[in-house]
Amino acid sequence: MKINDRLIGALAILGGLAVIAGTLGFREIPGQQFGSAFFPRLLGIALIFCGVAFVATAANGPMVRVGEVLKGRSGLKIATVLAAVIGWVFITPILGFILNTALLIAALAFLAGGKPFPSVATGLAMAVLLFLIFGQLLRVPLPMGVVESVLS
Amino acid sequence: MSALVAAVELVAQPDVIGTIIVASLLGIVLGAIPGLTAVMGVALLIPITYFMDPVPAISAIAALAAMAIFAGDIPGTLLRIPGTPASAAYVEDGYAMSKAGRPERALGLSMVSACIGGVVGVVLLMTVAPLLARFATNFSSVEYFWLALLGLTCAAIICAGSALKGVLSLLFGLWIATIGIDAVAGQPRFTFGSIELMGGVSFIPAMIGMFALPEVLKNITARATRQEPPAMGPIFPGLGRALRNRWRNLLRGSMIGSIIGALPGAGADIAAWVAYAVAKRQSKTPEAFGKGHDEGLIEAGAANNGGLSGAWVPTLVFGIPGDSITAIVIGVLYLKGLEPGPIIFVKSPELVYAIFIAFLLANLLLIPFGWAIIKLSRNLLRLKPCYFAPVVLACCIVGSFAINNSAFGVLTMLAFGIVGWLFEENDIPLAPAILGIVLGGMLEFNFVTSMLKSQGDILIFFSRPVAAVLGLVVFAIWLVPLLRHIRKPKEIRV
Repeated sequence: MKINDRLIGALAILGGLAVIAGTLGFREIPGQQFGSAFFPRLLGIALIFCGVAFVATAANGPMVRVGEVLKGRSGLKIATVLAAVIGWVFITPILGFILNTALLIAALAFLAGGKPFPSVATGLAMAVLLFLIFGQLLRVPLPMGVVESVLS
Repeated sequence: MSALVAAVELVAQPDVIGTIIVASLLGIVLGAIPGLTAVMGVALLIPITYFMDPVPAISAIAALAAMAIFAGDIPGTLLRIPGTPASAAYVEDGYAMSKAGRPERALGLSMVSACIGGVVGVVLLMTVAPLLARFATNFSSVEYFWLALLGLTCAAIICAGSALKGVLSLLFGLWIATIGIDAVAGQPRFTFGSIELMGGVSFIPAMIGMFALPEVLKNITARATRQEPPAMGPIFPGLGRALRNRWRNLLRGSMIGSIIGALPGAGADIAAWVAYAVAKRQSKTPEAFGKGHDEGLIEAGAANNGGLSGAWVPTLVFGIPGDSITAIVIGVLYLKGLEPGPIIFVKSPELVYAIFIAFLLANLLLIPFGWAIIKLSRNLLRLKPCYFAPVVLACCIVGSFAINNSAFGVLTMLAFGIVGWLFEENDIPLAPAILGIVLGGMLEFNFVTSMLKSQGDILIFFSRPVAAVLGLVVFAIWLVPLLRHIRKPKEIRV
């Protein structure tokens, strides 16, 4: 997704203003000349200058150009990847780490053009491997989930 | 001397040697797969190193990066797809050699050049870093402020395609670094009421998101192309004679790489391009470059790994990253409670020497591991992105989760991944943002401390000779693109 430099500049200016506005509520420390707001305010000003430079030097053209990668099947794949990450966060406490990670890998591999059996095999093998590395070797408390708890 | 002995003992531990070997294998496989870069490999390794002691953790990163940078030559040579950006400089020569039926010669030259370049870089690191560290022990907050700004300036202005986009990326990173409780006044900043953000944005999920998620998206949407890698002959016969004939290129490439790599904000990619250009300029047959000539391949191949080692000089001595990988290393050192800078040479010299030895070991391992991967490369290159991209995504998720055992890390990774993807789509470089996140705290601390010391007198930043020189260098780097832009005719600007 190509964004015109003019829009990037406008976003930078807005961002700079938002950063400065965000510092207005910071409490001042009595007797201290440079408090918590000092550095972020400088950053906000720099962002505004940067945004102005973007706007001033931008070439003409559409504000946003949606590339081929975001259209059709390719766009669906990108949306699915992003949704899969959010899905993993919410479904793992239910299904458990191994089942959910295997499902995520297998589904995405299949969606990306993989064959059904290798997709499922890759998903299961890698989910177990990641569980062994992180869950067993590094002792990360990976969620068991309701389903895995019942199964085990 | 006792520090060196202690360092050898540290590296000789079975767990450290084992970690180096496993990380090397991982690096060489990741680098050889088109679309998986050395930086991404390091980003994915960090959650694992998080649970290790400092020596195996840093050794693993050094080994993985050294292997991955070389292995990036394999898809470049066999399929004309550079595995890492650093291999792009000489991809045409390698591919032309491969088309002419000599892929093993191109890869053999790359492998030995990378090994020699890396070793020269480590020797430079071992000799220059302690000397610079001794000099830097007298630095105050003012010099550190300028050094941090110099590193950020180099990354944003010199190394990025567009200086303006580099600056924007940097400012984004610096703003991210301000999120959380302010260390000086205890004021929560930009936390939006979130308890998770009180401690600041977790560096590892942010970095994994920015570097790895865009690669996943690229690979998962990649159209499958059926390209059969060529058959491979024996690698070593005739290699020694070819390298003896090109010893000048080998030596020059190693030196150029090590020196450019040591510049804050530069890296192996730039080192390889510069070395290739120098090789072409100095060659008696510049017209043969790009058509399967070995001079550029050897010189830039050596510069690649030389640059990787050189980048550790500013990282360890000043705490200023030489490239994206060392920016990650600085983050890891902070996480381990070790502050990179001259003091680390005084407080934990054995750790510094252990890093040197691990790096040397990793570069020497390039020959046996490189030989094995070249032999296996035909099979590896047949791997389809549709299978490995979801696995990389799963690694991103579990790695981000593991840092705080919290789903918030996964969502942070996702948010930064989307930002990273948008940056890449619009040619905004990622490295300045990561450098900004890593160095933002140090920059602010040294800036505010100096301002408080001088009671607001800005001249304090020029009150010491080294600080004044550094300040002038920073201003010069800022002014050059500005003056160039002003002097450019308006029609060209548009």
